Amino acid sequence: MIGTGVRNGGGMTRDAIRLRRVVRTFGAGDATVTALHDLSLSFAAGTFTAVMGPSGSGKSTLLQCAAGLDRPTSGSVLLGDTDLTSLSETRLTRLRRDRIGFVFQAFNLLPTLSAEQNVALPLRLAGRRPARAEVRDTLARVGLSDRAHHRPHEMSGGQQQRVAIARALITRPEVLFGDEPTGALDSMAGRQVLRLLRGMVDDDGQTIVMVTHDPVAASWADRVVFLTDGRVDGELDDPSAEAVVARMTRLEDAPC
Amino acid sequence: MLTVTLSSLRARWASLAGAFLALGLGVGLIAMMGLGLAATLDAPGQQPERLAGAPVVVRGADELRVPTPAGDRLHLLARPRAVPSAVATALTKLGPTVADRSFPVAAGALGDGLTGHPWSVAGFGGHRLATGHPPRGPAEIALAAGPEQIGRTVEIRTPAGSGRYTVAGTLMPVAYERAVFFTDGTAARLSPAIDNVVVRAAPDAVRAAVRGTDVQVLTGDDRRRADPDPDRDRDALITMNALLGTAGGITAFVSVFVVGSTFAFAVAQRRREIGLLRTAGATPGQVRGAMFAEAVVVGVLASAAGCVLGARAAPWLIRLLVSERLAPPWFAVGEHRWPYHVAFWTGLTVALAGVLVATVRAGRIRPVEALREAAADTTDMTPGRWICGALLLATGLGLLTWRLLNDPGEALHRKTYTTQPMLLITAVALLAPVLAGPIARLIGWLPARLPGATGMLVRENAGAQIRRTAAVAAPVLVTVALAGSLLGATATINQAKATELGTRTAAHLIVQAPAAGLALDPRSVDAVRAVPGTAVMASSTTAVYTLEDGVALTRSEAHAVDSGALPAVRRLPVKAGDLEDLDDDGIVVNEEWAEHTVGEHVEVWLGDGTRRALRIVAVLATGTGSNGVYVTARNAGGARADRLEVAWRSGTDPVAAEAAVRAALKSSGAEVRTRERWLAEQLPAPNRQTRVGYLVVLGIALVYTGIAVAVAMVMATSDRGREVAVLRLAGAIGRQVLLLAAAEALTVVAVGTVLGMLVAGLNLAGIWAALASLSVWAPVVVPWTALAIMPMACAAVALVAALAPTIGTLRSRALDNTR
Repeated sequence: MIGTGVRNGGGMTRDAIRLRRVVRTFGAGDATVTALHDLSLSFAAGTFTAVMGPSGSGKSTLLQCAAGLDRPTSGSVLLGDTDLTSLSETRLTRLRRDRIGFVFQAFNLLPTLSAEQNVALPLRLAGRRPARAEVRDTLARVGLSDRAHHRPHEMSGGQQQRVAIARALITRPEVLFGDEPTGALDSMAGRQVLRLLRGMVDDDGQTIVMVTHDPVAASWADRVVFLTDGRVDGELDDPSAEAVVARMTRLEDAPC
Repeated sequence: MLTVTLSSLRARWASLAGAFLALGLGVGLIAMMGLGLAATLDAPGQQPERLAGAPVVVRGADELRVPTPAGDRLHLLARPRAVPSAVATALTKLGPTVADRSFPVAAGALGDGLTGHPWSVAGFGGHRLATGHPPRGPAEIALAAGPEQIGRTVEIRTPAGSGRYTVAGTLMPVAYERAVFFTDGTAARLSPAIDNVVVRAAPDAVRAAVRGTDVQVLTGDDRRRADPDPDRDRDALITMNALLGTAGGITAFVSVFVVGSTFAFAVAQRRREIGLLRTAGATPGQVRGAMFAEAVVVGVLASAAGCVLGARAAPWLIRLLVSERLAPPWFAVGEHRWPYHVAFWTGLTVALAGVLVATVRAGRIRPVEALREAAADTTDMTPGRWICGALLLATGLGLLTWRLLNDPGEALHRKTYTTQPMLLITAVALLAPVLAGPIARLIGWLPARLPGATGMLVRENAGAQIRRTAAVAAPVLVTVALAGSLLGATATINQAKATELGTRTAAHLIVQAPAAGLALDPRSVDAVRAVPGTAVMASSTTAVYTLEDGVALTRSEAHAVDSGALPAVRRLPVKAGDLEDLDDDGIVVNEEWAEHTVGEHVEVWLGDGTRRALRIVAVLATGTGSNGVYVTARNAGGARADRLEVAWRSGTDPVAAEAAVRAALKSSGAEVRTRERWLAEQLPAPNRQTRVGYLVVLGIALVYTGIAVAVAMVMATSDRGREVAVLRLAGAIGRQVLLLAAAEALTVVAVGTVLGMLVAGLNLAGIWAALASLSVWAPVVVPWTALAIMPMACAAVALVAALAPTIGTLRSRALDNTR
């Protein structure tokens, strides 16, 4: 179950995040829906993992539980040595702010703030005065130095998503989660975002976990984990788009 | 389309509840004030009291009647004329007559401010003897008092001087006056003029007998003209009408303002929903139709609820006014239906107009536009808003300037200074989106420098989401601007009057007659004049009437003075001419007079109706309107000196002189006051009644705007679930979200306060300028207490209204709110 940082050059790998026997159900009584069935999974530091699966397979729930946005019904989620499930809501928020980055399909930028202000927001929320250079550097890393003073509505989708990535990166998180980060983008802008993510893994050893339904997006990852009905249903290392398509077709055709 | 309407009714409860509340309360207030105002139009016919038992009353002329090309002009005379003795004698031939006289009496221990009459008229007014017997001897009196007073001898002052009288009988008190009865002979000696003659004869015979004279023949209800206060009930209603009229005007303005802005904001908030409808294939017309249908449903229900509320609240208002003695006890809600119609249709019309304006804009929204991320408002100012705002601002400032140049005195009238702020408030509210952004950024400048996120977020949110900022700031603006303008205007005008009076009064001592209506006795006056080193002026207050432009008969307060001492005791703002020139054929007028050229002759009628042509010898500045005109004692129209003003000539020892004056007046009963004490007594006392008056005129409207602040805040906050969620996903903990909500609420209140103070400042500057151009240099009195309390109250309300829904949002998961 331990991923290998193939393009990272191998060697000793450490798990950035580990899910142990995670169960997540919604509703109660007859209407209970189980999104995650006793799921265990690890993500090695410095790797790029894509999580795939048909609609309703629990991939978003997995991501939200792993990122501390949602609480499992049972089981534990370990970020390094910290068990996220044991933290209070405020502590969890602080931990998310400092150690986890999250990029959404809907960008979720604050509409009234400029790109620069959006990027600086997590630092400010943590009570720090962000150094101008730090913010500028982060924006430069996503290639948006010239958009620092634009508000979200003045930017294209791809640019907005890159601002969101910069915002997620400013706190130097241990893991960056992406929930279909390219889902709202055209293929060109999507490719730009994926190249950016890939580069962060290769150059800086960033750990990334990304949910996607796009085989092309998944092919940028080191490893693809497939989910069905809240359970791990195989994985692919060093995937190609074709292999992912083939695997997905099989999953989706399988009788439920 | 109706199902869409109904379902959106359910979905947008916060907006709709807010709109419903604002409209319902607004209509309720209009209905309440309308019902109160309607009640002031029902004058109960005041019945005759003092001579109610008299068959026919012949009364001396008490009106000045001046024929003009546009018909006869009438004015009540300052001093009614007596019935000529020839007429009184002629009437005795028709049947038994009683000569009636009324004169002021001060009875010291038994009370001052009494009215003396001959005993023969006592029976006509329902006076009944309780103990003792009627006055029989020349030194006997009867009055309402306890039985133990029988036989007591008291010092009594009358117009004929003072004398000692013995209480022969006590009477049951009556409600309409406090009377002292003398024998008919004594009354005739004390007050020779016959005010009324009661005749027991046929009215027609009486009319025939007095034909050719100016006396009036009163029968039936007209006999109340002989009462001490014949227009008491009408005057009470006029006072109530002015109070409730002002209150109604302010309330109606505030209601219209709040309802209009609330409904427009409710529609503006629904950009996204409108976009979805449009995407789903709704035409602009359908969108407008749906919004309009919804507004009709809410408007009709809320207006109806408001009418019910008004019906309940009006009796409460009237009870308050009666219990605080602002209104007479018989004041009651009438049967009028029109206030309900006015309130209902005003409310509905304003609500629909607000929606209509907003939906015209909403209909223009393109589907894609609305679906975009709820961005910063880019279209805060529509051309319509620019035009209306600019027009109103121009009108407000234009009127202000025009009045300053043409009729500065107008600015001091209540009707002017209550309506002037309304124009400016509406103008500033319309232009608020332009001003709110910069002000919010300015307020947020310092906090945004701080390391945390709150300062920056507050500054950017309030500065970018102008529509929301302006919508919440609007009721704060009204609250602060109205309180500041109205309280400031009255305080500034009162201060100006006090300053003017202080400047005008140069006398060191002011002496007044023992009781209202009584004159100073000439011997005492001469004694004061004899005190060395003093300038003494005796004066009386009367009136002078003049016909302006050939049609308008106007009354001016007039001071009848001895001209020699006038410049020594009063510093008057002389614009032209010389006060020293005032003689028995002269008059000093003020600039309010149509004719105010020195040397010209003016036709006037004196206080008793005598016609005279007087030469203008000097012209005074208008001032706050109390400068009046000056004539000599000979033109007093029968009024006798009741006040002395004493100034020390240079080199006089004030202590010795004051002692000498007091000694000279010792036995006269006159009251001696120093300049300081007299001035202090002239100030309007801040009593409970004045406060209740303010509560009715301003307080109720301000409570309503306070509620409007809460409504707008809740509406604005309930819209922000997604924003809060995104912030939480970016790492904000609950405390930070609450802090942000609180800081934003305070910023918006601060924006409204700044705008409100701007309007209030402009209004007060206008009043100051008006006073200055009337030659009154008084400082502007800024009502700091109100200007501090109003924003604080608004802030408290806004905080609660912002935090409560935010706490609600925090209870749910952030993730669920981003969708």
